[in-house]
Amino acid sequence: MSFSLRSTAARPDAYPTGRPEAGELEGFGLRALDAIGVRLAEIFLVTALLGVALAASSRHAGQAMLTGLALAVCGGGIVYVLGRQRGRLWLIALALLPAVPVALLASATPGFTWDHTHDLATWVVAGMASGVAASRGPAWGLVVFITGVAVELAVEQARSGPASALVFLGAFTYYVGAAVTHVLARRGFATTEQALEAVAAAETAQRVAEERWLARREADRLLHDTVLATLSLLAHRGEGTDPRELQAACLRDLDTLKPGRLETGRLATTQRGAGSALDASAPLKSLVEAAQREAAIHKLELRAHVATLKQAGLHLDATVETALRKALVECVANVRHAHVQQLDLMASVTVDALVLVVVDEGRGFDLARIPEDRLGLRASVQERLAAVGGSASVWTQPGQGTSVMLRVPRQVVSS
Amino acid sequence: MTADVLLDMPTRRRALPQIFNRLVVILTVQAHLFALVIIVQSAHDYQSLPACLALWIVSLAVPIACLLVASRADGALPTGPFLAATVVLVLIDLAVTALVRLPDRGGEAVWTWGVIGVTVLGFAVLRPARDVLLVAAGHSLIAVAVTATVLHHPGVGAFALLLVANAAATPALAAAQYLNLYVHAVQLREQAGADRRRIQTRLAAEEAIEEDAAGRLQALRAEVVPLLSGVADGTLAVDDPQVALLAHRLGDDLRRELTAARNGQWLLPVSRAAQRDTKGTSPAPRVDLLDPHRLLSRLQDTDRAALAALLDVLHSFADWQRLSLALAPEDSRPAAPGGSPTEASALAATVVATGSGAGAACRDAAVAAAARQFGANLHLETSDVLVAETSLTLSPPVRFLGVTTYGCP
Repeated sequence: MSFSLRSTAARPDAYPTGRPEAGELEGFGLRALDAIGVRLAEIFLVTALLGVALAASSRHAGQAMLTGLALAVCGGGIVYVLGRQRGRLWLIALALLPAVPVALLASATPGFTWDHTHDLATWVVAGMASGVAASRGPAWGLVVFITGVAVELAVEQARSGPASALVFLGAFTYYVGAAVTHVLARRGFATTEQALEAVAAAETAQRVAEERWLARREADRLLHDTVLATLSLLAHRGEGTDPRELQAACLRDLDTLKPGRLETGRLATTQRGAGSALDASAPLKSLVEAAQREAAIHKLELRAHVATLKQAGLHLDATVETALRKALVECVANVRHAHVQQLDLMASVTVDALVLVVVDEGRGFDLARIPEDRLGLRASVQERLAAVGGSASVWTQPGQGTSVMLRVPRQVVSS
Repeated sequence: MTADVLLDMPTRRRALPQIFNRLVVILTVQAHLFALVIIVQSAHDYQSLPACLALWIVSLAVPIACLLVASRADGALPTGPFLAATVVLVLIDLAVTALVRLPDRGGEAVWTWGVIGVTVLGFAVLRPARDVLLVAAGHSLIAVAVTATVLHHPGVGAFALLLVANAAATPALAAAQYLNLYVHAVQLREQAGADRRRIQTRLAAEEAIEEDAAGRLQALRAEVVPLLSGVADGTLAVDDPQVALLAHRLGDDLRRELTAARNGQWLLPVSRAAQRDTKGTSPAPRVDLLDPHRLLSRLQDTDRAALAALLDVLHSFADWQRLSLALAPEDSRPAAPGGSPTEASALAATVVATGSGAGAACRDAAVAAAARQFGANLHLETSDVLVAETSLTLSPPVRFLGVTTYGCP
């Protein structure tokens, strides 16, 4: 059978019967009902076809073939009308179609026994009525059922044979089952649609909240690293900073503060340390260059030591690279508080991680006494790295210098 | 719409909504009425009519009992009762066959083939399609085997076998087909909904983020931009004490704001989009936060977002006089000397919404979905007090700088 739910669902407006579609699920569901109607009818019609072959006597093969042909037409008709979602006129024709094989069966006593005649007629009516009822609802199914029963009784009456509507009780059971299924399915689609919409609304609200939170955190880190750092320099009258670099920082920060820039992730070309677009073939070199540029802004001499082992094949994911570069730049910028002129940067790729260590021999600080509002290491370094699966460690004591190690596992680094 | 519709979602255990339970009742009763007609018509074919009627009653009771059991087990029939029901149905199959006199076993006196076939169809509402097909196959096999034993009797032949097989197997085949198609329809809908929601969510997030930024950066830009512009173009001297003083104050303000934002409280008041969608007539109140242990900053990102979503959905639903959120440690230990006073690893979160719409909100599917997302138990304390309670795991303390700090991303 060529009918497929997916192929018809692809054109949700192709329903010429004018039935209202309460929701998207109902759109898909109605096509599912069409498909089940076709299959239900086919099960019975194929069984009836087999029954005709088994029940007919060899002397009446012609009549059996005629009945079989009528059954095949019924099968084709139901596939065409339900499967192609044909409209009302086609449905009326379909409702009348079972009258043909039923009439042939009822008038064919010489070919079939009385019992077989009624069993086969029952299957035909059951298949057509339940198929149409499952697809198009109780009313259409009832039309098919009544037509079939009426034809059977009329032909039997005309032949003065024993006629009883009771033989259709089994067929009626199938019709009722299909009709009830159709009604319940329509209501089931509506309730399921409501549930899906409710869940979708809640999921959307959660996702939006997540996005707002992440955007704000990143924006705050950027504000800390850019505007707050510049304001801090200005508050100290630019001490230890090249005036031209300070002016350049102000220009970059003004760009950062333009509406829509900060929270929408469009800062890639304006943030501090930008311009260090990663060279995939030499990721460490690119990071070191970003650190050197930051050191130059603060008039610091950066001595880089790059380990070459295991570097081959390293490729940094863009998100990881950005986080790592921003964290490294922040570490270098923090050295300005150490009151030294030099710092060392050790960069290496080990078997399992990419490691950057920033070392100064400055005044150090007490780890336990970092005020709550100091966000440099906490937010701009540690949280930024943790967000991409990395980590930061600091070793320092007052008067003993400071070492900061940034570490990103290779399974995170490599893409 | 009520929260009950959430229970009507197709699941792996049960593919059809609970509304289909009615189908089991209707078909079972109707098929058994049909069987009763057959029993009356074929009364002389049974060795004991009372025994046959007793089996008819048991047969009718089986699907009804299954439905009752399922209704107490979230709508799905557990395996134990399902197997028990299957055994009973097979016994009925065999018992009715034994009751029918041998020459009549190929006829309609054996009413069970079709009737139990329909009963098996009813299982499709309560059990996965595979189970239904297995039982239907067993039932059909018994039907065909029993009929085959009397093939040599007059009036019984291949046609009778076809008739029996059709009656026994068709209902289950139809049910299995229907299940597959219904599940497929729901999958298509979910896929289409997910695609659409992805776009809607992105647009809503962008809008909310821009609103956040516009609101909070306005004051900052008003003073910082002239200062930075002045320094950049040289109209303000870097060594001017007034410039340094202004930069110092603005830096302090910004630092305070950045520090305050870290606990995420700013995320809790209703978003402007939710305010626009509100169904209530009075403006949505702010959320009163009761967080003496400062646990909000230690919520995991997913939990924080789910909490914000629940508050957003509540805001958009009805008039509220008050909305409050209380966070309390569940397993806090007394502070060790020099240690942090908040070393709890879990917290109890309680959202209390007070207002005339509490009852309606409690039944609302979107509220129920948001509460479930947050892992919260939703209930009415009184007619106008809605409570959502849950227990959440806190972000683990991060070892950093040699001391324990909190508030990982």
